Amino acid sequence: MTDRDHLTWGELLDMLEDRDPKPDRRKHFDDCEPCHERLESLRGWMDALPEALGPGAPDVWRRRAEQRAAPRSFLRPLQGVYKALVVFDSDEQSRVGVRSAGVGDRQWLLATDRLEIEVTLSHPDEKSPFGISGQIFSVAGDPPPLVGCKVRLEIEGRTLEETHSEPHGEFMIQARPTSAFQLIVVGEGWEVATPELTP
Amino acid sequence: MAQHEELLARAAAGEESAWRDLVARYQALVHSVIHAHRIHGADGEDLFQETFLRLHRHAHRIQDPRALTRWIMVTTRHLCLDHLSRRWRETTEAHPPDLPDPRPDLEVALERLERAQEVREALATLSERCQALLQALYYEQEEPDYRRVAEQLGMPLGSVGPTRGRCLERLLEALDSRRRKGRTS
Repeated sequence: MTDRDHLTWGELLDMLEDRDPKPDRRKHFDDCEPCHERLESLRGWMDALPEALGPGAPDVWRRRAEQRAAPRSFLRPLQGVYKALVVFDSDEQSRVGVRSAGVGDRQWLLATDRLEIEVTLSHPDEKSPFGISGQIFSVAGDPPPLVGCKVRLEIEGRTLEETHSEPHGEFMIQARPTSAFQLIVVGEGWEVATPELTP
Repeated sequence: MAQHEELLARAAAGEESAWRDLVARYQALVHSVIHAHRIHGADGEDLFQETFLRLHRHAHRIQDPRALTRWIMVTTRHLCLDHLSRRWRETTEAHPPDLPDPRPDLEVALERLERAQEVREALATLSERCQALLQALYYEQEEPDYRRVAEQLGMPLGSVGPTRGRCLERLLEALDSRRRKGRTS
């Protein structure tokens, strides 16, 4: 049986809209697994059609996005204590595959209101003098100074090592934790804590 | 219509028109994810801009452009959750209550939005006439009224049904072809 024998999209559409196909085509459909799969896909796409036809975001949002405008909340100075969320974990989201790191390294991207922290845990077999390397990024707007921030490695609430960030927010930590750890980044008037990261 | 890979590479290289195309292609997806979290107004717009800023900054690092739709959805969702959790902390000193694990619902919602994005991209390959007709039939009206659609689009009443059939078939062929390409690449 070839693809040409199967029900056409037009015939499947008719079926979806309760118009019976010709008896021989109905008989084909009843025994045809690919036709059933195509009908299911068709049902999903037709269900999604009204949403796909929606106008989307207001024009002013789109125009600002085209200009890469900073969110208005970014105009406030960064102040306070924040908890960063994991937005990428190379162990769980390999399908998304957005980060670049050495083969076998584990990588997280953590985000909070205005900052992102990239954390790379080196592979245990790698002869690297640093177990953890990372970088603090300002998402946009008026950036808080990212140089000279304190970066603390904590395990079970105890500080294991402390370092300071370099001119572009980079930091290096010698220890290579083998159990759950947390990083605390402290800048002028703000502090960002990561959740526990488990290697 | 440019492929994701090409568009992403051009946007990452700083080509403004490619960036505008990326915003045009994904704005409705980002908006619908934010809307699904019931975040509106200025907060919604902030999250919208922040998602695109992150996309702009990370465009050169995205290794698998076919996963771009999912990357955008996951990033927008995380930003929304972060926003909601901050709002919660600002309005109450108590910890958020233990809520049931939302992941099964989330997966269903993300799949639905991902499918809508698939349809949106296939729609963009159709003629303007087809797009206008499908818009009039499937978005603007709950019960399609062929007579009204014919008047609105200046078409003979008798051609609305057959044109609708042909436009839908083209849409389905475009969707099917994109899906097959996705499987083979």
